[in-house]
Amino acid sequence: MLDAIISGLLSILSWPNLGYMLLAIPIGLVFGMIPGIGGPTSLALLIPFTFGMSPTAGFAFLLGMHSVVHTSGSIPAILFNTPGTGPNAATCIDGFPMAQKGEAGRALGAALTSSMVGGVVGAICLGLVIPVVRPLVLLFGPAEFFMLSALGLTFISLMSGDSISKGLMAGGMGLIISYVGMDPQTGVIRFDYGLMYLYEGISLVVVVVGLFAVATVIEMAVEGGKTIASVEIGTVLQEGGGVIQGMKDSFRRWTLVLRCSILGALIGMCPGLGGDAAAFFCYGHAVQTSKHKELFGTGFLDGVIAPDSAHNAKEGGNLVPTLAFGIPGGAAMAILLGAFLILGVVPGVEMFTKHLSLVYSMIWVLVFANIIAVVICLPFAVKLAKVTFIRTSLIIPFIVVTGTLGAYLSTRNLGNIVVVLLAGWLGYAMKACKFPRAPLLLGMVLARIFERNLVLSLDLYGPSFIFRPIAFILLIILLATVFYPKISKKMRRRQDKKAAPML
Amino acid sequence: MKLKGTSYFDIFWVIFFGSIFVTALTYDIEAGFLPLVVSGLCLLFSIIRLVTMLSGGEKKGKAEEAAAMTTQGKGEGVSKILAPFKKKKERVGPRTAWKRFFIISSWLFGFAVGVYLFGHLISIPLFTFLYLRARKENWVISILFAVMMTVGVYLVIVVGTKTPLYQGFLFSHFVGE
Repeated sequence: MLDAIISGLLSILSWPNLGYMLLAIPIGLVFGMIPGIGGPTSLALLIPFTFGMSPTAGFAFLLGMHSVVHTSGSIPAILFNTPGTGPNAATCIDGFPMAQKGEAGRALGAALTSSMVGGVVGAICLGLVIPVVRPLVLLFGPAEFFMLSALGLTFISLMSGDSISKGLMAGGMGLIISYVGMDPQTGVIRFDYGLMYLYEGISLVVVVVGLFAVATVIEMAVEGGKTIASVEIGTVLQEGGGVIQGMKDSFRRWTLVLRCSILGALIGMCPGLGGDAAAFFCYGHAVQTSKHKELFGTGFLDGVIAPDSAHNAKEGGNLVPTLAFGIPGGAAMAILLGAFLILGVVPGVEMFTKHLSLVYSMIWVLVFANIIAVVICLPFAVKLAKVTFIRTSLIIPFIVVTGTLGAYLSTRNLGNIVVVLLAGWLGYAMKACKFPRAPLLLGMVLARIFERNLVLSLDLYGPSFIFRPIAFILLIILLATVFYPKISKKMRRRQDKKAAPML
Repeated sequence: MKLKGTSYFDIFWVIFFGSIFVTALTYDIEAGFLPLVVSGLCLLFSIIRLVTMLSGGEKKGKAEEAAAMTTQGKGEGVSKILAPFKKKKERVGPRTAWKRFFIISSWLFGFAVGVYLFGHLISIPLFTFLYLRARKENWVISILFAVMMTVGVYLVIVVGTKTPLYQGFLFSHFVGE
């Protein structure tokens, strides 16, 4: 284990891996500050550029970028009340009032420092969980992995937001897209409709670029507006002082930072809960445990520290189910899981046997990227925030060119550009009609694992494979995941009906 | 029973899963079992959803849920938390939205056709320059940005990763490889 930790560290510090990580960090910071782009879109844009990289270099690049997206997202949240990414919305509640009171620098210092600590704590949590999860994963065979992928598919309902049927349909579409091309078990070519292009199936990268990057472009164009952040800058931009004070403040409130970081990492380990939940949950936790509840929402520092500690810590936690079981925690992790397959790494048992040093190199990336990002942001935070006001007319051609180019390069097939456009229109329609897009990716990622392990399990054990001890426990968890929300909803309605006459 | 924008999307799902289901029926059981089960279930969901939408069932359900949330105080709490940072977005009318959608879709389609005909290294500066001019950016920024994009792509992809870009149908057909 210690060998893997050290070799992971050395591989990250070696060339070109270090260079890729250092290149990715500013890219992530810029993407994080531009509202509307966020983690999944930026990952979708960068994945195609990892072709030909070694797995360590690829993850140094992708994780280095992704782990700092939320760090810089807090800057426009505090200065302009415009969160760069979803989880940064919680930072606005107290961050912007602080900026209005002339304490922008202090809020920025505290937010960035707690983000850094959160990111490092999340990485440490991931490191600590590995020895616990490792023996468990090694016990898993095809039957257990089949049940686990089925359980992963039921998480679609958790990712579905307000309508489970929408999530299930999106997930179903993801499964069907992954069935296109040659069936590895029977050799039959499915759903090719006579097109040579479809023989080898549809690449996940191409769908991801369309579904997120191109859909973002269409959304930006339809919504109009010269810049994405349409808020008044006011005088807050001039208030950059007090950064050091903010840093000191967050270290003084170390118990809050630590508690929220650990909570964030734990929430990250639960697939489907996502970053928004971690940030708001920790904000709620800070309110609940504070002696000055009345100050929250008026520009109280604890209200900045709590969500910022959580959203970066969540990334470390999110990697646990992704690495160990191949079940992504959310949309960004589903995309990252696609990158695993592209880089020739299979999550699960192999991660803890053949690629253990790669797992530790990922942990080191999380640690270094979070520290370097804050070192970059602290002196230039206010100046960097002006990125938010880049005109959409400049962003749109950039995303179109990068996205389509990346999709073309993934298999060097011109048909990919057509699929990107189709996926872009689909992604936009899904967003406009409030269909969640994450389940589609989850379906695409898990479909092959699901089908392969089902066939293997049936061959090895017959239909009774579901009664193997671990598989059976997983089946019970699966059934609970499916039926618990329905039962609790019914019980809640019944309680409401009972309570109604009393009102 | 009147069709709205979202209803058309629900019809799309029914058609999509229906066609997949029919195609899956043509495969033997080993290759077609899972696609048949998945598309069959999703077809059922999409039909139920379409019928519910057309009969106005979803609106009713959501209203009931919102009422329940407010009774429990949940709705108020959430809106109170979200209030300080909720940005008021400019409402875009459906006609304007469709118009803008068709314009950006035409740009995307045009770019794809441009790549097919002229290859990446011609269509990237052409698309970038024309798009920026159409969005009323000044000449200097339009030219500079188009050149920077092309040089950037060339340096990163062709020089950096030593990957040749697509030359374009016209170029390879008439000028030769």
